[in-house]
Parts: sequence; structure tokens; C-alpha cells
Amino acid sequence: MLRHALRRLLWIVPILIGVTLASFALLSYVPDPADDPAVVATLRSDEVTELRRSRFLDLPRFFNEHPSDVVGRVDDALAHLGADDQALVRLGGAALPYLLPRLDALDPAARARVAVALLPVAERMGIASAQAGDPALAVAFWNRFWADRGIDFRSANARRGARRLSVHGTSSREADLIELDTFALEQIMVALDELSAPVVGAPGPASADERIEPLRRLVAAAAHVTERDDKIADDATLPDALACVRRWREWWLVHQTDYVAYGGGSRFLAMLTNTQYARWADKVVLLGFGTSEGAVPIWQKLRDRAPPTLTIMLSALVLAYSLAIVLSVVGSLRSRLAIDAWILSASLLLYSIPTACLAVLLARRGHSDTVLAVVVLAVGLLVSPFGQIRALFAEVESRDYIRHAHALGMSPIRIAVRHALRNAALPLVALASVELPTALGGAFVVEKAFGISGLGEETVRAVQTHDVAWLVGLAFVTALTVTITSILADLAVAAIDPRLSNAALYHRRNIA
Amino acid sequence: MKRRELLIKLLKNRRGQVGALVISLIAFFAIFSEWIVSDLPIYVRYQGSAYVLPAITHTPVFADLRADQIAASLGPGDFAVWPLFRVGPQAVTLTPPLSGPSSDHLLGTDAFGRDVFARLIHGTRTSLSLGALVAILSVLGGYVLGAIAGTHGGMWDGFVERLAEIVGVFPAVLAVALVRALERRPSILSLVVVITAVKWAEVARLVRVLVLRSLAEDWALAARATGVSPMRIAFVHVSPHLMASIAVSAVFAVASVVLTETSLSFLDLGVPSTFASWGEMLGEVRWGAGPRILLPPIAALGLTLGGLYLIADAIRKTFEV
Repeated sequence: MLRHALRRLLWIVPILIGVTLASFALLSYVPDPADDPAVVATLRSDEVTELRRSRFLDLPRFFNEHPSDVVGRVDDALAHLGADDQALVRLGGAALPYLLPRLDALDPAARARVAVALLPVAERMGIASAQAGDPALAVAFWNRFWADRGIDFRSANARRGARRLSVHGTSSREADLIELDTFALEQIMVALDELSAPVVGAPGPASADERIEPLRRLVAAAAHVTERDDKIADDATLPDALACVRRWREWWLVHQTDYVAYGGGSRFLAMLTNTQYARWADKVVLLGFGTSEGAVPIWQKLRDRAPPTLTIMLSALVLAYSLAIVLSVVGSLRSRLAIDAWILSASLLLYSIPTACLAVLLARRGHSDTVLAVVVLAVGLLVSPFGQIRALFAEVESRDYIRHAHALGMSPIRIAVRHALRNAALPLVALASVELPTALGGAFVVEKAFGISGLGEETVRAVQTHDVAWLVGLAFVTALTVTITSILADLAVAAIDPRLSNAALYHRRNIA
Repeated sequence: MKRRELLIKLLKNRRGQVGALVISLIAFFAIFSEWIVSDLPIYVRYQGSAYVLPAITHTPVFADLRADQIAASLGPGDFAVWPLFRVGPQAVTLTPPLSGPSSDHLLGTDAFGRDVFARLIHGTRTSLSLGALVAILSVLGGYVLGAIAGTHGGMWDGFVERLAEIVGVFPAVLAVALVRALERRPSILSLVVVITAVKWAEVARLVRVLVLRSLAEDWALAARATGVSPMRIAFVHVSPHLMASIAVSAVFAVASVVLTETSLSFLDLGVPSTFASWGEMLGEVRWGAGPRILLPPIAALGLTLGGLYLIADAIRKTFEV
């Protein structure tokens, strides 16, 4: 039993991957709001590029044959020399290991041009001199720089620099890190990651201030080398600081390909990770379910919104199934009489009234509370189990053991409840676990009609604005609920009908 | 029992006869909508040429003409055979929106000034055919996959179950909304595809458990002992026992198209189609449609369900052992 339950729980992982793959595949083909011509027309071309990039639209969907990295971008910049010298400035220190050694191979004019274009980088690094700005001397300046300092451009050095700065901030340590320019970004991000999510149990800094300080220093360094104006303010509280770090993490997710070089194994990995799907999954998982629009973490929003929806949904399901069982038992007692036909016609007519219409008509009369919402939803869910139980009851009616029970003089109600119902349990439980998503869809409708603020409102908004993070969060919660209920259903079936325990629990072929 | 005997038993079932009568009546409306209510004539001789059912052939000559304009522009020697009511399902009439029943508009007009009766009759065709399509496709797919899961067990069973779970995670309403967002022009076919993709799982699970249960019975063991393959047992021997449940599932699948479309337009998800259908009519509840507009499609859906249920009942009675 336990083994079975655990195995099913483990199955949640592939199910979730399947769900995210499916919903991602679907959403990735939906025209993105960023591609809307009306939006694009109001922006400059570089803003459009940035917007597309922030939504990962520049990446392929599932597999990236040629993941671009800083090396590729240096090649690009050299190929289009003169068109966009700002690109080299943006790449900054991270590009130097791939740029400076190649300077001598360029023709003299291009060489001088590149060297002069790098002047803002030298200023940023704090090493600029009159030489760096002079076209005649700039090449010699950078060549000498690389001969002297090239050895510093190793990731171990960058890691040490970031660690040292986070432990204790002095101006010399800051200068050391800034001299690496964007080359240090990758390690700064690693350090930020470690600092913002300290390992549980590890001796950490005690006060909030002690936690903010290292974050502030690292963020300041990152802001300096990227010229992005997003720092932790002097009077920031810990949540403010963490929010700022999260913004930086999101920025890094989008822009890391500008600063990181892939070689060997990491290039192969990049083929898989530099894709829309991986970036988006990364965003969802690493950032604690991401921040959907409005910057409230999804978890929190789900926690706020789920209770009313789940209450309505589950109470309506329970109500519908109990009513269906009672009605069909009553119906089966008098199957020769007209009452059965009446119950049947009434239930079919009820089913034909869409939940939306019933709910709106009732809400218009001014009634609106949760109980009514549950009843309205239950009405819509009632008929399907009722029909199934009726069919199953009718099927077992002529079985030998039922006839036998009748012959023994058992009361019809006892036969219906103890014998016939037990036989109907398996299909009924199976049906109930499938109906959960249907009930959820119904709950959305009822919520809207009665003005209850639950998952439905948020979900409709998410579909309209392509808020993938919310939809995945929702899929996660529903997948979890469906799996857990279906495990419970299997266990319940095994308890009700021991003959089936093997089949239901172990999915084996040898049933006898 | 022989097949012939089963057929006779099915045809002689009183409930089944009533159900078949109701369904054929509704099917009649669906097939002959243009003969009953349309803004274009059934047959018209117009400026020397003859047109048969221009509403179906989409004749460009009449594209922008209202019924009264066509009638007025008929020259000498021209003549037209008109349907019972001269009003179309899409056309915005000159009658103000949301006005009550009159001799021109049997059931009045909706929030856009369109004729409710015309939309009801023309919606019958859309809703009935799409419903039937969903029912057939999902029952076929669900039966095959459910039977494979039930008989083969092990990996197959796990696979089908997981697939059903993945499919079952998203409410149908959401899935349709996402697919609709993909399309430039909302087609009603996306509704069929997605609802089928969601519905098969329901049938498959039902079939799976019923196959599992049947295989535990003595007759199935006996069949196994005589060398019948499990697949043959599932498809040939078990199928009569499944008829009752599957027929009921199919009945509800027919209705699900209408109900899903209603929820969809009520929740404002995806662009609604302008095609007349019952679901679209019921979705007008959000524009303030009252019982006058909502009751006709509800009654039509109820009648369809009732008729189908009676037929399903007859099938169950026929295969009862």
C-alpha cells in the first residue's frame, strides 16, 4: 500500500514535466503581447529588441543548435565593426579575454578602432589614462594591459574577488573586483545567490543589517560594471534588498549569454538551457515560482486565492455525489414506477442549464453567497455520476447474487446500499477523480457570477495577458490535487472491493 | 444472442423508439434550417438567372442584401420561393435589440438585434454535428486506449493513466481558451479538437476499470483458458458489458460542446465565434440576456439529451444479460 502510494507520488514529477511541456508548447505559439504591432509601433528598435529578449523570444523553443555566448558576440562585434561599437562597451571585461589576444590579427585601422571603442570600458574599470583615448597609443595601451593583467581574468580570481568583497567591503577590494569589469558578473551572481538564500543551519549573520550589507556591496559592483541603475538603497529593509537581488537574478537570466563563455560540456548543456523552455522553467523554479505581473510571488497569490475556490469545488463535488447516490438508490427501489422517469427527466433538464446561466440568473435576483455557489455548481456536476450509477445499478439488477439476496428476503434498500452500490464504487470513484478539473472550470464560472475572488479571476487574467508563471503554478496545484485524489481513490477501491486490490494497486495483468 | 436478434430487440424498445423520434425531429431542424428560417430564398429566379438555396452556396449576388431588399428588387418574370420565416441567423434586424416576440420574430431579438428563433434553428446544426463528432471521436479513442491499458497492464497501463492525468489537469475551458488564443480567426473546430482531447481520458478510465473488472469474472477466465487473447476479450467479449456506460458517456459528451462554449464566452476567454450555436446563444447571458433568450436553447439541449438518453437506455436494455 505504502509502496504504491509513494510510487504514485513520484510519478508527479514526470506528470508535471509533461504538463509544463504541453502548456509551454501551446503558449509559445500564442502570439506574444511583445509582438503586437500596436505595441511595437510605439517603441524604438532597441527597446523592441530588449523587450523581446526579456521574454526570451530571441531563443529557439526547445533546442539551441548554436547557443550564443560572449565569444560569439565578440565575433559579431568584430564583423560589424563601426556599425555598433556600443556592443563592445556593453560586453566589457567579459569580452577582453577573447578580444585582446586577437587585436594583432586585425588590420591596423580596425585594431585602432576597437582599442578606441574600448575607452569607456577602461573608464569603468578605473584604469583609463590619456593613452587609452589616443588612437595612436590605445592599441599599445590595451596590449600592455593584457600582458600585465590578463592572468587576472580567470574565474577563480573573479570568485575570490566576489567573496572578498562580500565578506568585508574596502575600497581596494571593490577596485579589484571592478577592474575585472563584467568578467566578474557570473561570480557576483553566484555569490548573491548564496547570500540571499543562506543554507539552513549554517552559522549566518545575525541581524538584518549584517545580511543586507554584503548584498548591497555586490549589487553596487554589478550596477557599476553593467551601468544599470538598480541598487539597494541605504535605508532599505531586508525584503527590499531581497527583491532587488531577485530583479538582478531575473536580469541575469535574460542577459547572461552576453557575459559567459561556453566550452566543452557547458556548451552542450547550453544547447539545452539556452532555449525558451529551459529559461522559462528556470524562471519558474529558481525564483520560487517567479513573479507574475504585479510582482507578488505566485506561491503567495495561490495561497490567498485557492481557499475559496477549493472550498466551493470540493463541497460541490461531495454534495453532487452524495445526492447522486441517494437519488439513484431511491430510483432503483421503484424502478417500475414513474418516479424513476421523473427523477431522470428532471436531472437531464438540470444538466441542460449551463452553470453560467443558472448562476447569473440567481445572482441577478440579488442572492449571492458561497452556499448558493456550491449548490449551483453541484447541480451541474450531479447528472454525470447519477447517470453512471443508474446504468451500473441496472446492470447488476439481474445478477445472481442480487436475485439471491432478494430471494433471502432482504429489504430492497439494504440490497441497493450493501450490494449494488459496492459494485458501482469502482467506476464511480474513477469518475470522481476525473471530474476534478471539470469542477474547477465550473468553479471559475460560479466565482465570476457571484463575484467571489478566487483562482478564476486570476486565471482569466493570466490567459489574457499570457502570464505563463501563473498558469504553471495553477497546473502544479491541480496536478498535485488530482494525483493525490487518484491515489486515495485507488486505496478506497481496494478497501471496498478486495478482489480488485491487486489490479487497482499494482496495475498488474494477473488479476485472479 | 445473434446480432440480428439484438438489433430487433433494440428496435422494439419503446423508450428507444421515443428517443429516436425526438432526435430525428431535432435532426430535421438541423438539416433543413435554410428551408425553415433564412434571409435568402429557397429558390429564386433573379435577373434572369436561377439560384437554388443561395444561403448554402454563398452566392455573392445576395451577399449584402436583406430579405426585403431582395423581394423589392425582383423584376418582372422573377420569382422567389421563400422559407417559412424570412430572417437570417447572423443578420442584424431593424427591430430594436432585446425586444419581445412578434409575428416577424417568433422569439424576439437578442442583445445585438438578431433574431433568436433563426439562431436557435441554425444553431441546432452546429451544436448537434459538433457534439456528435466529439462523442464519436472521444469514445473511439477512449475505448481503444482504455482497453489497451486494462488488458496489457504494466507499462501500457501506466502510460495511458499518466497521459490521462496530464490531459486531465487543465480544465477543458482553459485548454480551449489557450488554443483559441493561437488562432487568428476563431474556428469552432478548435472546440471539437480540445474537448475530444480532454473527453477521451474520461472514457478511457471508465473502460479501463470496467475491463479490469470484467477480466476478473469467471467467463473471462474461461475465455483466457481456452486461448482467447486478452485484446480479443476486451474488444469482443467485454464490449457488450461496456455498452451501457459508454452510451451514457457519449450522451454527455454531446452536451459538453454546448456547455463548454457557454462557459468560455461567459468567462470572456478567447474570441467567440460569430457562428450561431446553442452555446453561443447561452453565452449571451453576460450581455444581459433574460430567460426569453436563454430558455429556448436550454429546452433544445434538454430535449436532445433526453432523446439521446432514451436511446442509450434502449442500448443498455438490449445488451443486458
